[in-house]
Amino acid sequence: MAAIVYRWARVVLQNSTNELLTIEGTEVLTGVWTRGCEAHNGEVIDRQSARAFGTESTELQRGISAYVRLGSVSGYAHLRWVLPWVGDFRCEVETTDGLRTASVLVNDEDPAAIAALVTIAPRASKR
Amino acid sequence: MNIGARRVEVVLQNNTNELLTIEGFSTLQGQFRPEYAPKRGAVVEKQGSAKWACESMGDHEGAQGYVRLGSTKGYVHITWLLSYDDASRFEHTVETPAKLACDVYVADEETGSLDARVMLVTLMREGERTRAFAR
Repeated sequence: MAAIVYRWARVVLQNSTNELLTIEGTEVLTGVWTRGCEAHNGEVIDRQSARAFGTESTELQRGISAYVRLGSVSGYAHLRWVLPWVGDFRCEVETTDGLRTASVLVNDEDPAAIAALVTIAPRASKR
Repeated sequence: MNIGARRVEVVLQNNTNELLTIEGFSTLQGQFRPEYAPKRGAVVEKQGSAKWACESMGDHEGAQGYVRLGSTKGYVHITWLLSYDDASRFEHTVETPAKLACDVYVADEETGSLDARVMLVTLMREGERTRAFAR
């Protein structure tokens, strides 16, 4: 019988820069990667492309916590998210140098199964 | 059900998008009926429902118990007590976290079946009140 997924968070990273973003460090602190949506060190997110990361908890009274750190020639983007057992989803993004966080959109319509879209853009870009 | 026994059925209707997880439960008097016994780790899906039944097993025993469910907003704690000595005495409580609310409707208070009560707990977001069972 399949395990019950109690908490689930899917974080989609949109690379809206013209640079490669390379995953240089990533770990799940609590919970596990969702099959097919794991992050791997050395993996590249192509320019102007998107990548989904999935984390989930099948353990009673256990939330989710994970991070992904990405490098580029313009700087770093550090993405972390937390979905506690009791409490609201939080997603924080830090960028350095030539990168900026254009937006973080969270869909918490289903509070135990969250989807978030994080868009990284060049700092100098103008719409 | 034995003659003179007491029975309480608790129905939970989850009118939220919260995934409710059974984290604790017990009877203080009586036992859960096997087919309607809560199970630790079992879930009540968003907008879903569940039913538990507790009944006394011997003479001079009431039906008393609780179920505690976790959600991302906090804990929902449901208790009930149907006294053996005074079947007209049915006590229940439902505690909800700040962002959730509930309505409680006891069906058999109207139909006169004092030894078997059905308690419907409707969970909803704070600020959303159902008029369906307004009394």
